[in-house]
Amino acid sequence: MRYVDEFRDPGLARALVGEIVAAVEPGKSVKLMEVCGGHTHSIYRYGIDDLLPEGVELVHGPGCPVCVIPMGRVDDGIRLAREADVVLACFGDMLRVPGSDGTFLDAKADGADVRMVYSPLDALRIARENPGREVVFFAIGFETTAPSTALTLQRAKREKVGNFSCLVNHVTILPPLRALLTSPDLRIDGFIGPGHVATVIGARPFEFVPRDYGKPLVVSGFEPLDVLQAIHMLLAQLAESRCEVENQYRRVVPDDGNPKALELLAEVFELREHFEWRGLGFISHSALRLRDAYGDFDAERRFDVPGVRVADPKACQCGEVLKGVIKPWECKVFGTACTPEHAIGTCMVSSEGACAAYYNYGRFAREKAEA
Amino acid sequence: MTNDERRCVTCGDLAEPMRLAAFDRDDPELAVCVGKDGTRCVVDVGLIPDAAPGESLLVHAGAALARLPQGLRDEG
Repeated sequence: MRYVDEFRDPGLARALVGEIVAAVEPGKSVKLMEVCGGHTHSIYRYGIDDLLPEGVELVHGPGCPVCVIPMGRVDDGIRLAREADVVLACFGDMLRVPGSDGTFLDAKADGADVRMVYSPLDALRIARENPGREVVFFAIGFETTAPSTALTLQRAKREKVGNFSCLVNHVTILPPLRALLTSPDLRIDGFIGPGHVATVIGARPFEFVPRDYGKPLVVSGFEPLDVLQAIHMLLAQLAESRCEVENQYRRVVPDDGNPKALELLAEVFELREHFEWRGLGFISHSALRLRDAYGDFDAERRFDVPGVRVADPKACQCGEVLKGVIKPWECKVFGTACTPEHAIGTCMVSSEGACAAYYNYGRFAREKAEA
Repeated sequence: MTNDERRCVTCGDLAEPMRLAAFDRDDPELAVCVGKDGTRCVVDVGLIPDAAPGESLLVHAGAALARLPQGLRDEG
C-alpha cells in the first residue's frame, strides 16, 4: 500500500541504520527523548530500539495522554459515572486507568452506565438518543484530540443538545516539555517531536527548545523510516554543532499547524492556571478548560465534582518513567505486580504507555539477550 | 484499537490516513471516510477547507486534522 509501505521499506531502513551508526562517534553516547507515546509504541513495535548502535539511547517522555491523568481526575469521572441518570462516555484506554477505588470498568461492573466511544461525536450521538439521561464525555488528549472535542461542543451548542457535557482533561504538550527541560534529573541531548500534535500547533512552537535550552528537536512521523530519519537528523545536528527545530514530517506538518483548528481551540477552551500531571506534579498553564461561552457543557460546572487530589501508589514509578529517569523494566513492580491486565501505574495501561509498549514488544528480546 | 494493530487510534498522538468517500446529506461538515483496512466511519471535516471526495485525510478521534499529499486514493 502506497504511503504506508514506502515508509516501512526494509532496505531503506537498513541504509538509514548504517548512516546512524556512521554518525555516532566511537565511545560517545547520545540520549534522545521521544516526547510522544505514539513514537514509543512505534519504536517498540518495529524493534527500532534493537537496530540502534550502543551509543544511541532512546528515552521515553510524557506524551501518552492516558498515562498523565492523575488518579483524582479518574475518581472525579467515576463519581459522575455512579450518578443514577448519568451515562459516562470515554475512550477505550481510559476504561482501565486505575483511580483510588478502581477503574471505569469496575464502576461499569458495579452497575454504572459507562460506555466506550471512538470519538466525542459518538458521545454526542448517545446524548441525542437518550434525552432523559445526562451524557458526560470524559475528554482526554493533547492538542491532537482537543479539536475533536471542540468540534463536538460547537455542534452540541448549535443543535442545543441540553443533556451533553464534557469533563475536560485536555492537556498541552509545551509546558511539560519545558518542565522536563528545567528538571535537574534530565540528561537528554535531543528530542523527537510529536508529529500529530504538530499537525495542529505546527513545528514553530517548539523553537523554544533549541533557543532557551540548547537542545535540537526534530518533529517526526510515526512509521519506522520516519523515526529512523528523525534520529539521523538529530545526530547530524549534534555532529555539526547545529541546534534547531527541523521538520521530518513535512508531508503532514506545516510550520504553522492547522489555523482553523487553532482558531477553534481558542474559541472553545482557555488555559487552566494549574493542572496535575501524573508523576510530574502540578504544571502551570498546561491544561484546558471550557470558556464561559461553553459553560453549559462543562461537567465541572453542571455537577458536583469533588476535585480531590489523590497521591500515586507508592510502588508505582510512573513519574520517573515519564521523565525518562528510569526505563520501564527498572520500575520495582514492572511485569510482576504491574502488568497490562492488572496495571498499577498508568504507563502500563495505554498501548502508548512506555511500560505497556515495552511489556508487549520489547521484554522478550531483552530477556533473550540477557540469558 | 484498529483491527490489525494493537494500538489505540483515539487517545494517543495517533492518527490514521482515511479517504473521504462521501459527504453527509444533511450536514456538509460530516463525511463518511474509509480507512486502509476498509473501516468506515463518520468524520467531522470542518477543519479542512474545501475537502472533497477522494481526498486522503489524517483523521484522529473522529476529526480530520490535515490533508495528506497523496495516498489511499491511489489504492482505489
